[in-house]
Amino acid sequence: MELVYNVFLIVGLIVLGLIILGIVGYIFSIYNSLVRMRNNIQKSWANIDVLLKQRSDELPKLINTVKGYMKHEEDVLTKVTLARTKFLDAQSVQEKAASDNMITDALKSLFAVSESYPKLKASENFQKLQSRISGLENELSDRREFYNDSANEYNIRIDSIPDVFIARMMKYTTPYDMFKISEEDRKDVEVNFDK
Amino acid sequence: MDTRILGYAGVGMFLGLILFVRGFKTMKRKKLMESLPTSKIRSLAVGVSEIHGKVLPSKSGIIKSPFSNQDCVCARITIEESSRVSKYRHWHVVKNLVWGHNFFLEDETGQVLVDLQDAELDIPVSFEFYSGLGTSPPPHVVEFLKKNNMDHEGFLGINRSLRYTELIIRPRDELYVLGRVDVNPSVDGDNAEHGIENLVMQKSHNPNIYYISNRSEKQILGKINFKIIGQVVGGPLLLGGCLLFIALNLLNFR
Repeated sequence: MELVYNVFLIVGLIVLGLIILGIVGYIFSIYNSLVRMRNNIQKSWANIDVLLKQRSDELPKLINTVKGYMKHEEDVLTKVTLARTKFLDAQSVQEKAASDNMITDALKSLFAVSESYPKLKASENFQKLQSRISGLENELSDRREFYNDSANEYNIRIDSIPDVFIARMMKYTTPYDMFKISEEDRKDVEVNFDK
Repeated sequence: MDTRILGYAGVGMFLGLILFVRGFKTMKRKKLMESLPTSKIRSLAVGVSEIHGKVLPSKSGIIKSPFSNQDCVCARITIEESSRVSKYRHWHVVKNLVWGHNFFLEDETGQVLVDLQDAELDIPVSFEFYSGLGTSPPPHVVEFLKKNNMDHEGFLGINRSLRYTELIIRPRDELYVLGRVDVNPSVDGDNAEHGIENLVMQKSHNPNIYYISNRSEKQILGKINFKIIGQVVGGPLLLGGCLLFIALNLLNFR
């Protein structure tokens, strides 16, 4: 009887050992996935930065193309130039996000005003630049969404059980801010059909 | 004491341990899929990515699958031969071919080239056939084997015990792909059609994953959850149960 009891005990201990190993392995997998998520968020921000830089590099060409046509729209051109300068000076993520919003607003104004200049609109150079910048804007919008998804997923995980315990041990308690639209874009657009 | 039964229990123990270890690999994959948002194809960046879209043929066009003769953009053929180890039948791979390599995957924003090589395919089998004594493969399969320097006949012209499996990817199939996006090495970057040819989806080596499925991410994760329970819980139970069986039998024998 004692032997049978010992056999059960040994087998039980082996199974218990495996269960403990399983729990430890699960904890390691939570740790690793939190590390991966943080790195993915930083990578997705870096991928946005790459496109922001590309867009910023197109702006001098755009300004040179339009200034010959839009001689009386200095305000609009200055807005674009200032926004670009702010982006080049930006160091932190928040500063770059703010300057990104400024550039987007400035470009919207420029392209809206360009509608009043048929010769400019017909210019092949302008059309190429407009298409290139629109393409970059679309890619930027996708990558912002991706960044927000990644940040949201991470923020949920560090506050949910059981990841919250591991996150607190790793001091991963600060949620990531998400990309938000500018105040200008939040305002209602007035549509006036009377003319 | 029946040594065969003890042998089965020994194999059961070994399988239980393998299941348990594999459970961690499955858990790792699940964590990766859950933590990675789906990318829009238009804005894909180099690195591990997850995409979803419809299949479009590449420049090679639509081909006929070698076994089932269906229209497809590519097919994976696996030929396995049966061998017996004591009383157990075991299949080992004799030939593994990819017929047609590349296709495009398109979502609402753009297209990207996908290379099927080394992908783990989670799609329904389109053709499965067993040949053996008295059962020859269909004529078009025999022709295919001849073209690829293979013979379905063994000693004295007797049919070998072979299993022929085919998986195909059809145009307009909806696929989920998890792998690595890289610069397409076979295209000149300056002349590549941007957003379509300059990037290619292929196997990732770190982490080691390249997974293609016709299910949605939600369905895949659901299936993985069951698998994890089976492996991480079932593995130790199987190991423990077989170990207990062996130990009690040895005790009785004493």
